[in-house]
Amino acid sequence: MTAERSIVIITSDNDRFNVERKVAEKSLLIKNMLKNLLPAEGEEESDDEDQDTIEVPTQNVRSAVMKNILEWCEHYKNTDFPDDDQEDDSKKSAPIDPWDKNFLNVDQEMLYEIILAANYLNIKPLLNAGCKIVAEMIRGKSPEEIRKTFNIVNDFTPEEEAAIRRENEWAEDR
Amino acid sequence: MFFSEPATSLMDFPDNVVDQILGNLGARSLLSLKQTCRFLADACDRHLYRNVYFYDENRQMNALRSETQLPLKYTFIPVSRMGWFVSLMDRNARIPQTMASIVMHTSLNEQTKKLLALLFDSSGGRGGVREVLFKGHDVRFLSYLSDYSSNVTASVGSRLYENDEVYDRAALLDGASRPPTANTNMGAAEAATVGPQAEFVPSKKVELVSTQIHSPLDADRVLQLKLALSGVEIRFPNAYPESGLSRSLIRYWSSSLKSLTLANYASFLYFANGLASYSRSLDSYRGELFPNLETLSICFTDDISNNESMGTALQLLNLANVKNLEIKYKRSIFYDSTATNLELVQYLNRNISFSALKQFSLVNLNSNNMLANNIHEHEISENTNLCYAIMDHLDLFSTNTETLTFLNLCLNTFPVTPMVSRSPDTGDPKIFYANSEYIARKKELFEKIFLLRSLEILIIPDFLFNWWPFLEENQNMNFHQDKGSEPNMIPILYRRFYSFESGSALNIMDFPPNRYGSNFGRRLNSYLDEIVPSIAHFAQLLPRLAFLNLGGVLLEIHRDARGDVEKLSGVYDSWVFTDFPIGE
Repeated sequence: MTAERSIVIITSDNDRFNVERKVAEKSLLIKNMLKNLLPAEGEEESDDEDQDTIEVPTQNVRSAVMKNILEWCEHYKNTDFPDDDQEDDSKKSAPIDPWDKNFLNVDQEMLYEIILAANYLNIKPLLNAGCKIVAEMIRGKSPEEIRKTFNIVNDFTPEEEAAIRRENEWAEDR
Repeated sequence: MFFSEPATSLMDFPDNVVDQILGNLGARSLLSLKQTCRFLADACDRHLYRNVYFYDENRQMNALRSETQLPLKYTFIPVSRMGWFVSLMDRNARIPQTMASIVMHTSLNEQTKKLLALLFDSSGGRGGVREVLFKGHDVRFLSYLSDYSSNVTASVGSRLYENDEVYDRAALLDGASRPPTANTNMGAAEAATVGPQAEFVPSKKVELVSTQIHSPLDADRVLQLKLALSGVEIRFPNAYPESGLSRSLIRYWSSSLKSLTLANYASFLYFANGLASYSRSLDSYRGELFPNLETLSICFTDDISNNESMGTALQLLNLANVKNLEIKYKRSIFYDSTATNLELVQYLNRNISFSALKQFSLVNLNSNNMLANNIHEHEISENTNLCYAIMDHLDLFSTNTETLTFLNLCLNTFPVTPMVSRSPDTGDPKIFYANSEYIARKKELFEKIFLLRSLEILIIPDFLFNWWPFLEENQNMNFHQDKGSEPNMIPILYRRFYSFESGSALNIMDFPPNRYGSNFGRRLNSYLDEIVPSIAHFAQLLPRLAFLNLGGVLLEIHRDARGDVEKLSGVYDSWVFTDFPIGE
């Protein structure tokens, strides 16, 4: 059996990260990519592979974000998340893991980029945690506060706004 | 999803991410978010009106009142606003098209019929409403649906439906009708009735995948309507049925059902009788039927005369994919059923993958006082009661589970207990003597909960009368008896979630509780203050616990980034406690 080939993730700004396979495979996108290039762990690797390194380009993730993503993957490298982990109702009840909550305690721009990167790289548990953090930022706020927090431009006409308020009246005074 | 610029607003996220964020929000937040801009108004509507529950504001509590992280599946709209909602649906075609599931805590009346007609008409056979449930006692829905479908068929004829659509659907049903393996006893005549050549009743306007069955007649209606169901709740009245589930439905459902609730023993018997007669040769189907079940709620009894079909039915089932399991037990005859119980537990150990189980509910449906006259106290130490046999021997309680997030444990559904004494010398046989063995056993059983460290939701409906009095050395075991002229809060609070006889506890958190004890005010608050140490104990030993229902009061546990508890709050009650850490 030949020595295990190293995996290098290349970011959009051309930074290179050497990572363990099981860290990289927290991303289902990368896992599927590697499945085609490498035998599964424990399987015999064919002798005709002449490269020592597998390069994985991720054009959509910049270095600073990838650093965070890999920190998350490293932390969970020994945790098994099912590949087909669907976002079912029982999953929604899960509180954010305290470690994830702390990990995602970053500025809003970085949080957004981590969420987008987790979506692109197909890292469902991280995407799930990020979405819960954003939901927490919405919870309990008035429409105006939400607009301010998330940089939303009010594009309703006054008539539309009034119509929505009327439509929502079933929830008032309850 | 590709992107080039950093996101600066919610609108920069792809649709799937926006939907996932909104999926974590309750109705109150969605209503606020909806008022921010057009894009989010549309996105919020998809979530607000996807699953709607019309609750009875005179009898049920309002989940909208508090800003909780409780992931409520439904948007709760008062029944009194249904007329207004129907007119909103009439004006805005987008809303009925969005609706997938509707639950009504009311009867089938002109207004609900109008709402249903709007729903069915709007779907036009393409998606639309998938689930209709009546949480009251109305049993006429499928009858209404048959009439509705007949009228639609009569009025529009089959011209609306292209031939290929009809045959697509017939083929789907034909596929669903096959047993899960090629090994079939289906006769040629029976096969002909379910193939594409079969007479096809086009129920194009109704695409239900989940509904309730209240009688054998309802089951026939499902067949006539050719509903391709993946979820069924069989909820018969408690009289034992003479017939069993039909062979045709067993064939349909064996492949298609993912969720099966047998709400009471009569319903289970109907199911078991059908399976027993379906299997002329047990070995042909052993462990093969219903292989896709993910959710199973089942109700056993100790009535030995019916155990034969019960045992046969169980042998036929394939439970390998069950992730949500409820076992209810109705002890009707008091004899020693230890051997049967242990056999049943071993069956569950062999057939359920506890390392993958997500939800578990165990309910002892006792209809009388378990401690009165000191008659049944031995049940707790022996396995003559299936519930205790399960607590003692089910692998779940010895497996190091990492997947179980939900537990409902109710071992006493009779919330009035007699006076209890630690002394044998009371001279009154009606006073229950809680000796040291009884108390030690109680603690031993209770400690098993804390082995389930992955729990996020824990419900112990009988906590205040069946556990708490016995857990602490210096606890006043008769505290609930001693309230002077004030009503005893414990049985009243218990009744908030007491529908175990008629439904499953697996989805108990989805529905608003009954409006009992909402006027207790300060009295309830001081009561909750008193049990804070117990709540903190739960939160400390179950590190992921976020919701705890003790005796009918649903509490939310708020933690800081280190996982330490920083706040407790009532979801339906205005009680808040923040004085942490508390003295142990």
